[in-house]
Amino acid sequence: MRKLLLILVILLSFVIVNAQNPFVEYGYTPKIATLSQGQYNEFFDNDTLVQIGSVLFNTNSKQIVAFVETDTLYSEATLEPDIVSRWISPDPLASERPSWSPYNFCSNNPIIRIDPDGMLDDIVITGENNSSVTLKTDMIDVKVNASSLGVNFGGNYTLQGEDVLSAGLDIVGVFDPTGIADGVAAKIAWDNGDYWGATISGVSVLPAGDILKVGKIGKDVKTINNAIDAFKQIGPAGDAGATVTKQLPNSWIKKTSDNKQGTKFLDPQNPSGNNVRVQNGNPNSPNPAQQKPYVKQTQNGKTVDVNGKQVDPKTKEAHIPKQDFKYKKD
Amino acid sequence: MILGSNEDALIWKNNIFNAIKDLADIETQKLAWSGKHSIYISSFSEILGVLYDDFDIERYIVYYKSIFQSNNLHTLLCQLNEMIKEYKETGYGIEQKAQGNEIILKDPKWIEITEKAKEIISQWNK
Repeated sequence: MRKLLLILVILLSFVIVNAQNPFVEYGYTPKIATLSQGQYNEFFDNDTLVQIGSVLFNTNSKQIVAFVETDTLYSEATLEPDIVSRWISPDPLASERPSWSPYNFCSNNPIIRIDPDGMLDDIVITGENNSSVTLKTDMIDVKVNASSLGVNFGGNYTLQGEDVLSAGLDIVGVFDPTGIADGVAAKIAWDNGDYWGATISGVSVLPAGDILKVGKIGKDVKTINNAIDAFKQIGPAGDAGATVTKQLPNSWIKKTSDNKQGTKFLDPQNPSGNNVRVQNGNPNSPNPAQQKPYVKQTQNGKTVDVNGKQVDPKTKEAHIPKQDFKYKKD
Repeated sequence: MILGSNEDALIWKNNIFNAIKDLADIETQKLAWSGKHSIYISSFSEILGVLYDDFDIERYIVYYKSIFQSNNLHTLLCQLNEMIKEYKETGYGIEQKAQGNEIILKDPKWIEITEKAKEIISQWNK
């Protein structure tokens, strides 16, 4: 009985070892590096077509499909420009930027662009005296030194919002030889119906086009400085210089929210009846409406939705996505 | 002047009452904070945001005392405010972590806060 079992085990081992040899029909037995001595299937690839050296092998039909002449998967050594500066595993945030390869690093331009945290893109503009402004955006990741323009931001600030983004892109466009920043600025201006701004940014994509921006840059710096003033007033959280702040009456009181992750705006004559609260959102929240920046508005003591209709403060409708918020007076 | 020139004290009182009622309802919190409630969504930050940012319970406590003097309800409101103030910084920190809201809901200190809120609601209804 023991002998029978031994024979069966030997036969089984022979079958398994052969099953992992794709070259049997060619009468060749290569030396196969194995950790389990043939005990387990060691094809760690679920693809039907796998590349083994220069051989392209079909794991279903157990047939050699083709012989690959060059191994393009590992061509970093050749320093081909379209392959260098790429990751070997996909970016976990690749779905946020479907137009880019999931393996790209710094949009394939590591000379001018940076990615210090691996998150979505930022614009960093440095000025005189080590001052800087970081603009939160998912459109472009770039760092430029604008101190030659005589810009001093008076500190280091992180800002967000379309106005400051457009202004920042204009400044970046002066220093960005690729024209990408100007292209993005042109698109934003066009989408907002600012066709003249779009034309200026569009022409600036050309090497000599920045000459048209001369008058605009001063305005852009002012826009950023205004956003910094708002930032100083309401702290690092919330809505500095962005969509909600500019819609509300200037007389309203601005304060950082209780959780320090947002800003509240209060009507001084009716603070509990008329107020707006902007929250940054919590990416770990199981409620999608609370994961991204949202706004809660109380009007005449009632919580209202995006259309100004009264809703329960606990409903999804009461959590207005920040970009959709439109301030409605009584 | 504690009350704003256009502020309606009755509406304010009702909003504070409803915010404390939500604070007292831990069963709804378990569903709404975890995204499992069919209608409501909420969170630790949001429940305190309504209470402190939107309707400013601290100013309401001062207003309440100026009208009704110090009574049992005023004492309970002060106690609730102190308990939340003692806990909220910890809570805001925990909330940012994965499953943070679930951790808070099991925290004995948060459960004590919700019990105090229940006490206020029953006192308010008398």
